[in-house]
Amino acid sequence: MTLNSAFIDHLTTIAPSPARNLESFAIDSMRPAAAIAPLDRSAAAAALQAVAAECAVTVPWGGGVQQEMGYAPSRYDVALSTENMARLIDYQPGDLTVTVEGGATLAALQEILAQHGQFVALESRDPDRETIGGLLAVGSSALLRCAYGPPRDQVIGMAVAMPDGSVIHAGGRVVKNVAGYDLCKLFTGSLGTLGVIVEATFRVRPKPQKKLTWIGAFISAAETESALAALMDSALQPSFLQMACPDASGSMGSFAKIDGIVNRWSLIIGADGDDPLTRWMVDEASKLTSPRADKVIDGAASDRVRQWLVQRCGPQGHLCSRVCVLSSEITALVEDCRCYCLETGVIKMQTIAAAANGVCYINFRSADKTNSGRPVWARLVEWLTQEVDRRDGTCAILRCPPEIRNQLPLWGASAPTWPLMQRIRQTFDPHYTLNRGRMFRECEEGVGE
Amino acid sequence: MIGRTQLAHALTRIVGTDGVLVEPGDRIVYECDGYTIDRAIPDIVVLPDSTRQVSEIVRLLDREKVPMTPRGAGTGLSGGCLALEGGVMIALTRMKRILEVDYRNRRAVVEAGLVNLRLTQAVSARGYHYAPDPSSQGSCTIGGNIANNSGGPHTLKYGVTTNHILAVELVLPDGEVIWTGAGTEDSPGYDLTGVVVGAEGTFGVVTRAIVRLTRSPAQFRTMLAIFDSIDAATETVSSIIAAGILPAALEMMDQMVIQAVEEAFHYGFPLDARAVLIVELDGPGPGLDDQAAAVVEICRERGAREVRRAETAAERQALWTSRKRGIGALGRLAPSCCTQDGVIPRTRLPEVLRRISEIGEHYGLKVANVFHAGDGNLHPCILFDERDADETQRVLKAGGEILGVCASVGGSITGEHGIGVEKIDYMPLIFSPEDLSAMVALRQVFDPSGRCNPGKILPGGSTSCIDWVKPARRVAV
Repeated sequence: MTLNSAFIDHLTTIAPSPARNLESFAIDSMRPAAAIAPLDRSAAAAALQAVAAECAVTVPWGGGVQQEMGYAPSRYDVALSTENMARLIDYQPGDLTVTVEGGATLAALQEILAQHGQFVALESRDPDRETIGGLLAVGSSALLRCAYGPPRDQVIGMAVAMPDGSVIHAGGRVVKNVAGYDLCKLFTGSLGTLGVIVEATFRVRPKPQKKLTWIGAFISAAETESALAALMDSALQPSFLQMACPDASGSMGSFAKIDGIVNRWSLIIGADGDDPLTRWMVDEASKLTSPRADKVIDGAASDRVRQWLVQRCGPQGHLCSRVCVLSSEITALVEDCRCYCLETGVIKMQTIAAAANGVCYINFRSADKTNSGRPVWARLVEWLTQEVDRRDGTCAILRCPPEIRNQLPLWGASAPTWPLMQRIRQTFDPHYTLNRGRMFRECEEGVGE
Repeated sequence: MIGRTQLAHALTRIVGTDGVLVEPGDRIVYECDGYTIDRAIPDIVVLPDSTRQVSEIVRLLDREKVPMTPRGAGTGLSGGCLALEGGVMIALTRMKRILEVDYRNRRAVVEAGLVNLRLTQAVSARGYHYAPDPSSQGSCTIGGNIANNSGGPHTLKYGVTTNHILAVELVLPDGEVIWTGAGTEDSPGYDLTGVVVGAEGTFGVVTRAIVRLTRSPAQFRTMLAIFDSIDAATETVSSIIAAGILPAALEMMDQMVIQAVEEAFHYGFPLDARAVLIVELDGPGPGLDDQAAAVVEICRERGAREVRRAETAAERQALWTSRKRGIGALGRLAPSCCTQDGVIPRTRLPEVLRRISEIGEHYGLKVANVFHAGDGNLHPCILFDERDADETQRVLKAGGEILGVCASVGGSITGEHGIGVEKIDYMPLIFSPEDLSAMVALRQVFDPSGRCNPGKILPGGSTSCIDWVKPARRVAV
């Protein structure tokens, strides 16, 4: 079924077309029949309602940075871009709060906050493109969650355009608020399946006076785990605590021109604060862990390494998984992945993990230039899912070859709470008009798997 | 409909005779929480000691369509565990075990009835604590904290309960037992843990939780700044934040509270001070003295008469004891105290405190203020005698106006005490009908029959469309 031209014309009376062409909204081989870029939240909600009334499906778009997550939509009629909803709504430096529309990019937001010596504890692989709405719809992060928590902990209020044409508000504009249900938590990480985030209010923080990055190198998974355990049990309060497997350490070493970490495991710490504190932190990290080699970086070099780490915590290879286990399980799991890849002879792996939080970004690349081998990837995902399940963790596939996307269990082993989540989905989007089939395997309208 | 006697027998078969309370003298203990203005006695109180028992109880109540009210220690301040429709109160206080402590991964698995402070005490020797520390932490339970998304004085740096819960075990209103997550971060799907925290017991009965443990700071710098005016103290709060300093805690008490606390605890507060600020910095050590010096300088610039520093752990402890028992100390001044709980943007503190004072004068009521200044979370404590019906009505009106002021400056009607029954009528101050309808819809997913802690949070009951009807309750006279 395709949208008829009369309806597409009607849509353009609700919202104009976006600046970029229709082709740029393709997902795998699927192209929408129309793309719109509403000028405000009311228009966004009206458009959602109109599309729902046509029994059609909308895919919300921010910058498209994480659009490859999830299954391919089972139907795709309209792309709704938030590019025209990028305004600053309210900023109170004295209250440490800021409110922006969902189409604002992270870079634009951070630039506004930086003028007052503040920042929001969010990160992006592509901050000039990734929007606030898209970032929250995915709801994950890598570096800053160690000290500040994931994106859900930065949001204090939201406005969401709903498929029934309403705009609902969750939370507020104050940092402490327990009025009603915490719907901000519901919408964060919902992958655009409940509504379109058109506005968000964040708590902001003073920028640290100084930022140092400490890198320590270790020769084995066991030695790395001992070091990690020592750091976790210490008084250190790092802004981030990452682990890189040997291959990833080598890449980081090449990028940042750091000696001594090739073919070694590494731990990387963000030491942020005033000068005495940051100096103490890097010294203490070395004392606690006795690395084989260590290095302290500051200034622009430190910023570059941090941005490199953020970029590596996301799809880089042919298949990327986000595996979440206990911190104590990380090194053993990654070592098992290394061994598995070695046995295949064709798969290479690089892992960067938010080690204190147990969130691992494992990127796999096939050494076979044709990248053939659907069975290879299927077996890998099956093995990985079992390994993670055995460790009581979760596994999400963030990227895979498009032709096998819908054959893999992208969200890992099925959780017992999945039916409850599906009931929530049915409550807010009863006809599956938003991102149909991308989180739950919905095929026909009203039918879920 | 099943009769009380038959129901009691059925519950006894699940928990044993000592786990079921039916005598009026036993049940009246559960007629209210810390919000004593409203009371409602449950028909039966049951005290399970395992998740299996809770599940069997809830299944029975589901079969018989009996309302149920979960309860922790009953220290809540908004009537969150009032048994408005009678039915069965499920008191979790016997489920108080620490099941597992995992220092390596900084987490613990606990039962919902565990007292907050007991958890910190259990892990403190290893240098850890459970960060959310409401003033009632010596009595309140983890389950109650989860229901209300409780805060405390240290939320400015450490966050609130939702930032420290990794997963909860929840008995749904039909008796099914689920864990909301794996206890690891970033589980695929919706954040069920995040929506259950703060749901005030309306989504089911929380029986266990996986909680974060926080490494205790190695050092503290705790200061007491004494002011001759409330404005000077509130402006100091803004100045400290504007200087880029984020203390672990930033608390304020006004003269009425100072005098009550001094009489009770003899800390050495000057009785003529109009306001005091407690400012606490914490961390590994390096740089703390510089930060503390900066704080002292700001306080003096803003007119602090004196700035004292707790020199020993005992002095620090005494200062916090005085603060955390501040509201209780007000019992010296009046038979009853209605502790309000509103949140405002921090920069509006001076203006809002003045308006609160005006409201108190208008209604002929004394209002003491002790609050989390760093968060803008106010606790105006209205002193009265609940035996005086007219005065009680004036307290309710004054409380409502205070909440109206908070909403009018862009704040919220509750920062940590929850809506319960106390603030149901004020939800429209900050939420539209569409917002409230969304909350009703979410509640119906978890509790289609509307029997789990009915009459809380949402105006008009849990399953109906929004209808501005005050739920039936009586005011204690």
